Amino acid sequence: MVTTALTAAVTSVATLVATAAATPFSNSLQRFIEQAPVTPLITVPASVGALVIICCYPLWRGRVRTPGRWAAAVAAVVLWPFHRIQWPQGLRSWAGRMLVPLAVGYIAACLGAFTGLVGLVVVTVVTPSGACEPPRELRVITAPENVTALRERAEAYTKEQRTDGCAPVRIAVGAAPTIEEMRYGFRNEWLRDDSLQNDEPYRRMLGLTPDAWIPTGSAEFDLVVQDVSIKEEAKNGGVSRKTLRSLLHKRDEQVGTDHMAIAVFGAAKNDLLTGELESAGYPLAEIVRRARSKGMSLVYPQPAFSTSGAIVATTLSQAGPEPGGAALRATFDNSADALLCHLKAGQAGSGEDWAKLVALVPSHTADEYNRGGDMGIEGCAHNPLAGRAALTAVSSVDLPTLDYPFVEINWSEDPARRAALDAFATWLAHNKLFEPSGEGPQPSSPARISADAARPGHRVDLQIMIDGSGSMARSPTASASDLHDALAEVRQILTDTDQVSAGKFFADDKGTPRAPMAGEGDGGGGEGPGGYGEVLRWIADDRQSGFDEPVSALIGGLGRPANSLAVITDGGPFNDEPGPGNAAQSIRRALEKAADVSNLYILTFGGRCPDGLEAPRSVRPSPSDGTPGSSGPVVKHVVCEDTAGTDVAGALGRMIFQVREWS
Amino acid sequence: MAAGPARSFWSRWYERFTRFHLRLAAACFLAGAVFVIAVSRHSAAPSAQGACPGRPDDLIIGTGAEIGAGGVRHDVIKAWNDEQRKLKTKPLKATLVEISESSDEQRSELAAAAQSKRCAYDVLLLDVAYITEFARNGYLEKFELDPGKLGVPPERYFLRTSLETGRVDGERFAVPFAADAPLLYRRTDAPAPPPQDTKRFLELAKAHGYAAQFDDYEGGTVNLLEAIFSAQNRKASQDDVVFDDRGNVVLDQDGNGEKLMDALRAWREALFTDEDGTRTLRNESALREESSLQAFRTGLVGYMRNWPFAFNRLAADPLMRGDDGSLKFQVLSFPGTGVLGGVDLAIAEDSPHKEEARELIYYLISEEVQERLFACAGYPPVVTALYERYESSGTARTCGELAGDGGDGAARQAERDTEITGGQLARFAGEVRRAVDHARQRPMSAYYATFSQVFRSCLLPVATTTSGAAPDFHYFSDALRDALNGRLRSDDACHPPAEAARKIGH
Repeated sequence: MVTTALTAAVTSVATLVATAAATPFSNSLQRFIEQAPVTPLITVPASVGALVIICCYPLWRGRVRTPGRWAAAVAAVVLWPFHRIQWPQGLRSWAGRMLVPLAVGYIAACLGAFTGLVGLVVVTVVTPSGACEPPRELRVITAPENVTALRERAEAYTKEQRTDGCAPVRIAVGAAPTIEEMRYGFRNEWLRDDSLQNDEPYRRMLGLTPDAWIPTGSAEFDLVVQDVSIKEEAKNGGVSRKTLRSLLHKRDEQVGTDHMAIAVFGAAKNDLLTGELESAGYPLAEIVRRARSKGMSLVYPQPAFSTSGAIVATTLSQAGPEPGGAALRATFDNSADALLCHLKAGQAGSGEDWAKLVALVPSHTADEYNRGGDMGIEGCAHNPLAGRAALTAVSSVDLPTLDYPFVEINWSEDPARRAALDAFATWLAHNKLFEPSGEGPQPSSPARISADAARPGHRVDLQIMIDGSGSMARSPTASASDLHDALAEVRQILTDTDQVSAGKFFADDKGTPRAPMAGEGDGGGGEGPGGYGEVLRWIADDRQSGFDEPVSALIGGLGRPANSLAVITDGGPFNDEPGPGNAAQSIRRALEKAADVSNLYILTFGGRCPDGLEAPRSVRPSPSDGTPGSSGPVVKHVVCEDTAGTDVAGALGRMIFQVREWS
Repeated sequence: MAAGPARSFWSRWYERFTRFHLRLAAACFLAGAVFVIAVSRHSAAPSAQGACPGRPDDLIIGTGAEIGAGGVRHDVIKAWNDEQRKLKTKPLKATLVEISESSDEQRSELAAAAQSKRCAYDVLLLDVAYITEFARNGYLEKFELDPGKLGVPPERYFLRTSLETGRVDGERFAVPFAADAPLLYRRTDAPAPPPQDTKRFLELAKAHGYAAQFDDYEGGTVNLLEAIFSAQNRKASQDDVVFDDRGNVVLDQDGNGEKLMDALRAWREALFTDEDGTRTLRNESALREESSLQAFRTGLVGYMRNWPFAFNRLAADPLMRGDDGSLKFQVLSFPGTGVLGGVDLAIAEDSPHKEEARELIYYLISEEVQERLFACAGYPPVVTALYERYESSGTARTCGELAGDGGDGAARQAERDTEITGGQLARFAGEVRRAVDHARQRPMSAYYATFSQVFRSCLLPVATTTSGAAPDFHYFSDALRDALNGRLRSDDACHPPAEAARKIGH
């Protein structure tokens, strides 16, 4: 009993000591084992050993009895073929002379090999070489507004783990794609949906392939894994199915705690956050009512792109006031940070309209905004804010809490990677990303996300016409390939009932206007994802091009126009409008004449919009539901956006978002 | 029971053990040890052939997301696939997997894939800053260039400086694919004359505005290095201020600290202080490549430092064209010493298709492909002969000419307003070649990212703010040496802990 306990204790201590001693070298040890030439190290000694035994067998047979019944049985079976052989006398005497030298040589060689191996391990793994061992790469993704905080935590963790200045892990933090994209990506090796790519020789990843994912809330995790299974290649070549829940392992601990908040500028705080509302726990319906009466607007990120936007939309659809009105609406921004960045940009203008915007965002984003910095967005850098320009975040009884679970993703069985992730997750649970903060009541209801709430309500009937001129084909930012990829990316903000068609417009060699359409001859365009796929295929394959054709001529010449028309161009066609310098007027006139077209959205890549056409509505308060981009009670809408960046998908998304608002 | 005979067996052995046996044992012991060491040193990890279950039988190329190259890369790969289908009965289909626009994410993804041994990629398109890391960590297969396939020795086929980027510790692991070096873009519709030297350039930059990349990211490190290199005569190795040609940190040698401070001070005075000398920080310190491009395009600044990719973007932009189709900007080689950039091609160590990968790489570095990528997408070529061809008058071919739709007639000319002409391409090629020839490599280290982080953490504040204090150069140099080995010993790499604590106390 005592012996057993002592043995167990000694074993435990030895294991602990060995583990502690080996931990700093675990990466290099594993690397050594992975790179070790296992095959020659096993086969060469084994083959030589077998030869020695065979050579010595004639002498050995009958002289030595093998100790142990099992060993004797094995030896009898293995050496049975040699037992049947009548060894010549010469060979027997040679074996007699060689037995000892062969055995001595073999045993010494084995000992030498073992010593060499130990020496290599010491030299390679233990002895410091000056440079650190390469750290293990870990990739973690989270919602864009959490990236800055997670990077800070990852750096702090790496710093804590350093031994002699060397970090055992390097943690790359990336922005998670949208819920829809994740649902597809987890089933498809983290690649974007390429089902519409035909035989194109490229695939696009959804950013970093995550080893771990920190959702904004458990509801986001549930939505991603819901009713989804992935194909798994079985070893026998068949296909088995397993659920996403076996690929994604959600740990029990939370690595952050926050809540959705009403973020109001200091300049307007007293107008909105009255003592009366405070005592009632800032009920959302009352807040919206008061905001409307003060000419203020509550805005939140685009639900189709942003988890926090989807949480707000779900909350509103279940309990709150109706979304869509001017006093409460989603913006196009794909994250809470992007929304706040737009609010900051608004402060650069004259007047104090910016103070009338109130954001519904996670509480921590308002703190980050006040701290300054770029919030992870190029061009958004600003100094720390206080007073009238700073945001005050208050919770509401109607807005939910956000837990931040840690989800491990097991793309492959790699115990070392998994151990590294476990260690980071445990550390993060004790050094949380966010702690509860802000004023107001502490909400207790968990966040919920409904897939339907993330989908917009109005049906879009959109005809996309792409400039088919030669200069547009050469556009480095909006080539057919870029447009195809961007349109595929924005598919997630279209619903099954949306009607989208597409075509090109240009003039041929003789100057005759041409406007070929996708799927022409069989209904044209497409309803829902299937029809949209038709449009994408056509854009990728169509090689027709010609010369600039005026937009006004296009509007007048469309055979079966949709209610909303989107024109994508490099700006060249504006120069061909009748009446130099009056392109805007000419386009407006054509739109007025077109009985079936109500909305026109022109998207210009590279060039500049003609004077007189207004830009689409950016984030600014809307005192009424009046027409954006125009003044007075007009029935038709026309805006023109010139975009110079490379974010084609973003520009197309803004376009669809605006058209939906008009519909 | 069996112990008796066994014991007598060993006793007989011992009795027969002679000096000869002792020598034999020693020799065999040594032979065994040498065998293990030799096998371990000269054999790679187990071959990945057949060890990649579930992997599609494609030739996978891991790369960054393509920005502004108009799908030309896709077309090039498509052409390779078509050619292979004609040549082989069972060809491998080459597929580009575009990881991310972020160079850091791309590096992380490729490194993680290499560590996981999932055979995710066959060919890697790697930023030259990471070649050393990938080679030393065993993620890349060695690649010896075959002069027979190139037609000439590699030293003559490739730009000299670009060729060096693929060599690590005396062995070649990567092959140049796209050259890169900083260029100066100057608006010709603004009174911003071409600068003659760095000193004059800083005066002009202060007067007309200059967009450079001094934000806290890798571009910030590169711009800092260029500011320091440009103040020195790089031809003389004794003038190295930060590190020498072998990558040794020399910042703590006599006078180098002062030289560095002088250089950064000059740039700060020119770029980040207002005309009246009030030392107000201007917004330009937070620019990156894309925001610099927008600042230049919209006329906020008269000059811009950027990589060659910006040429194609600007030339295709109607805003940057005059009424007659002429460009409203000029490209010049950087007024000083730039940092060498670029992208190299390498074969992943765990690739199951190494031979096919090699063939694809030779195709991608062929003159034909390099010319197409240059004329149609603005990828600076790495092939010397192409530069010579473009610089010879009248031999430069435009993208349209390469595609076989040569322009004819006045009507077509109207549509060619934004096409880059042969003359423009020739001038661009000349400036790129000059810039590449005069550019200097970043220090070669498997931990370049750590070096970069430490370097800019101390020097960006000095270059962009008036409150940035000079570091303790001995301490900072040690921190840089550690960083080149992957070590970060303290939060403040600029000052010893006692001094840093005193500063915080104040």
